[in-house]
Amino acid sequence: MNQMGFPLLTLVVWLPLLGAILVYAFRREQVKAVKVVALGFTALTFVGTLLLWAFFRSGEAGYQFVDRAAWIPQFGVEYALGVDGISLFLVILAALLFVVAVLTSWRLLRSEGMRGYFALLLFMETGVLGVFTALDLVLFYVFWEVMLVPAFFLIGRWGGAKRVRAATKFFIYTMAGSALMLVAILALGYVVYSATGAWTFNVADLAGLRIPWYTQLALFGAFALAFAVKAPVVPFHTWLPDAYVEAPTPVTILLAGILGKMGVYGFIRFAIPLFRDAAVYFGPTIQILAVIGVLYGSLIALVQTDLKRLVAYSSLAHVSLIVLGLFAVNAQSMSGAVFQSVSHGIYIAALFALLGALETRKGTRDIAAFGGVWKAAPVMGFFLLIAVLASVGLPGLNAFAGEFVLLLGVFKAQKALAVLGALGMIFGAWYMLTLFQRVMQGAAKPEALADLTGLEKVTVAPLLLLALVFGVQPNLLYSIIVPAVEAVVKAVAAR
Amino acid sequence: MAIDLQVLAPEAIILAFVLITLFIYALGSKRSTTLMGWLALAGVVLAGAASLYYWGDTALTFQGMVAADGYGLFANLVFLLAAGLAILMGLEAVRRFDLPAEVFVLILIATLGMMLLGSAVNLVAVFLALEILSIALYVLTASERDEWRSLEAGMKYFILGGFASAFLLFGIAMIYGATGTFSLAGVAAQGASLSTLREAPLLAAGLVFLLIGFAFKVALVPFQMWTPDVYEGAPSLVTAFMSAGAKAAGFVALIRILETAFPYWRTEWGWALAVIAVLTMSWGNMAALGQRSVKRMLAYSSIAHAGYIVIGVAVAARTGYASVLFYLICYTLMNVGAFAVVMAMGRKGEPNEGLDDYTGLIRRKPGLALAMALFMLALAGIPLTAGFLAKLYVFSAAVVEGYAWLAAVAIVNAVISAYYYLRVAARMFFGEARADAAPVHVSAPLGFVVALTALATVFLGVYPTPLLEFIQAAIRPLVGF
Repeated sequence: MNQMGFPLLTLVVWLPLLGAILVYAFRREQVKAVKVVALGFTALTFVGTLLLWAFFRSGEAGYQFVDRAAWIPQFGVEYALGVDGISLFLVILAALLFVVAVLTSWRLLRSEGMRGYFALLLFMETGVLGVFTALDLVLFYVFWEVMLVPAFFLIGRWGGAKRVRAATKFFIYTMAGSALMLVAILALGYVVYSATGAWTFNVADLAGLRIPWYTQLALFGAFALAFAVKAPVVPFHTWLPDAYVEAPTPVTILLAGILGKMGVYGFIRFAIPLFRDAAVYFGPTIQILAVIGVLYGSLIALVQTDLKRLVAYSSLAHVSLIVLGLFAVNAQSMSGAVFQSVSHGIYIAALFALLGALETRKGTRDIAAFGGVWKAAPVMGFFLLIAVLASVGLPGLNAFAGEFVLLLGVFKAQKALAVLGALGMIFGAWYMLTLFQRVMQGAAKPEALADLTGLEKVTVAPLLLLALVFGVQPNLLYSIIVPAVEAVVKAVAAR
Repeated sequence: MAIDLQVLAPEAIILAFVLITLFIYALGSKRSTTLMGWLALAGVVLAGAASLYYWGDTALTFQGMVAADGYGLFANLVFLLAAGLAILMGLEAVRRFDLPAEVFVLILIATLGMMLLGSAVNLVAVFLALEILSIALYVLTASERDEWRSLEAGMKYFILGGFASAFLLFGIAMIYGATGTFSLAGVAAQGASLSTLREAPLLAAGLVFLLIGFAFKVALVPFQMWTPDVYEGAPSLVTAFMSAGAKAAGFVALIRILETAFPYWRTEWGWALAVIAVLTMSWGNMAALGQRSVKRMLAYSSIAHAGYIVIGVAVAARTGYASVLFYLICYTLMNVGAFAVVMAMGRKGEPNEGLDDYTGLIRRKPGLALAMALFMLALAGIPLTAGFLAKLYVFSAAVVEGYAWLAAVAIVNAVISAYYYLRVAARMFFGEARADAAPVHVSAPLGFVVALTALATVFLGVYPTPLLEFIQAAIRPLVGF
């Protein structure tokens, strides 16, 4: 039993699914009620994740709030959930972004098929929360794959012009990436079975396992491929621009804010601690790919004329930087990477929400169509400014607190890579400030844009506030992240 | 030796209901068709109950030609499930497509053949059972008598099925020539003393021919050519019944024969089947990619699934066989469900099987579209459906027995298959239906089949434990370790 004496984590994970079912208690026309149910359940789930934080015993490295039960005993598959310092804030971030996604869906979408839309969204939330909390590898894979289904239907049905293509590409790429991971999971289970005579896929039982070198290489390869597609790491990123751009804004927020983090999380939770030798061996290769991702993403972002596409490529650059930090495998770089995963999720969500607001007002995403928006919509301009500054890593905002620590860690290990990675931040300032300037400043276009509505303000403001709070008080997070990360680093060092 | 009919109670019940339904058919009018259907269903349910009642008994009968054991009794349940679902679909098909009432009798006869095939421990009995099954299926395939493609399919199936039977018979003859016995246990005893392949060319040739015969029957590459045309041409309920039940019967018998009569050549036939598995699933999936007809796509997909199932046979171990049985149940549910949807889309003279006919189905028939999407995801092997755990079980058996590469090939195939399964889902959910799209009508029995298979597909995907326990108990008498 966990510290609560109560399966809080299970409740948090499955609550959204309950909401997804309850949505159908209403008639098709009761759009308002459906929205309220969706908001209520995401908000309740978010409160639940905050309770996790409140009762979290900080300073401890192990899993907390663990719920365990036999699921398929014949295969040794367990239902096992738990959080530690690495996953806690990703869980909270996920729950927060789903609330944001529901709020941004409020006026954005036509009223047809709303029950299906919110049911899928809530279903996806259960999948995402499951990914971040599953402690059994098969259960993890189940959540990982199941989550694709609602994402596929959300993009395919409510996305932009090329939505079907984007949805299919997203689904097939991710599934192809993670296919071999399933075989690797089974093989890993078999390695344990042949050593101990019992089937288990529980992460706690697998930790510290000595795996033969060539087996490690193969298994690490299979896991890394899955996570590299999801994050994404160059050259497995080609699904990203299509999916981010074609998805409806709320889904883009989720894709960029939290789904990509599943790849990052997979690396630090499974790929690195389970296959320590292989992770160290392949680390530099992946880091070079990550640096390429930082530079490539930044350069492509510089020449984009489409709002969403620009930010999509910037997201590629930022996530690549996180991956760079992960594979330096020291406490600083990895803690920075986890912190930055959370903070990137916060400001990228704010950015996409604001871009969505711009797009609905203008009916286009073409940057050239905008100009001088600040005059007509000062609140929007102000919000966008903060989001842009957060994303370029201005000290005092959250990205700085993450990227600085991350790069410091990388610098201690590999100076050249750190310098190249930092170059990405300079490019970042360049393309993001250019974006801001071209949209908000300059000569105003003839038709004035309406400013943010009250709802939009309520949606975005908390994100920006969080960016500020975490920027000023990064220790709120680091005090919980660092012990968990240090345990991973120690395990790798002691291999 | 007395013939102990009690051991064959499930088979006897089916036979009795064959006679009863035939009798009603001979005497009755057009209106008795529905009665025949319900009686056939009652027979299937009773036979299923009898299989469960005799669960745990192990006995030989008919001079040791037929065995009643957990394995055979469990296999009965798979066949009866497929038959029951097919009969329910038939209740609608006789009205909608004007199928003759004989379909119910023929389904029962084919089921009888399957059940005997699953219990046969003598090569002559294997052949007889297979013929009972096959001949009923030839007629069933051609049962939409005023539909040209149904007749063509029946003819093709008959001719190619005849070839397969000939191969099988030839193989049996060679095995008899080498060992002097038809009994599987006898072949094992004789064969074991022949020890290596070189010393037993006749027996080996016999095994090869036997394998070819079975490969024809369960549609393994390179003996799958008949499948797409026959599956597409046959009435949907027959296709569902064939692809689930007949295929299951073939695999069940194949496992029993290989494991009982040829255990000393496990490595050889294991590798042969592993190669066939790779060819079968790859060919099935590649060919399915380009299909514009959902029914024909499902035909190719059934070839691909046969490829996944062969993996479980190829690994030649208890977990492998258990995974095959589990896969067969799961496949029966999701595949019959998918064909039930295909059938619901069709009308007399208008099959409406094209991808275009499914466009925007979510707005016309949301329930049907949701169920079809579920079946597609299950066939693709997405978690929380039976299809995922079926694959997981087969793959884990492969990994454990040192065939991890085979599991890797299979899962890459599963990704390829996701593309064409998703395309159906994408059509149904993302497209706008044509204004002149034919109305879709779902009657009570058909709706029941769709709902039942859909619910069972999810249930088995979430809570497979009881079924897995049942299967592991069933497999115990067959493989003594």
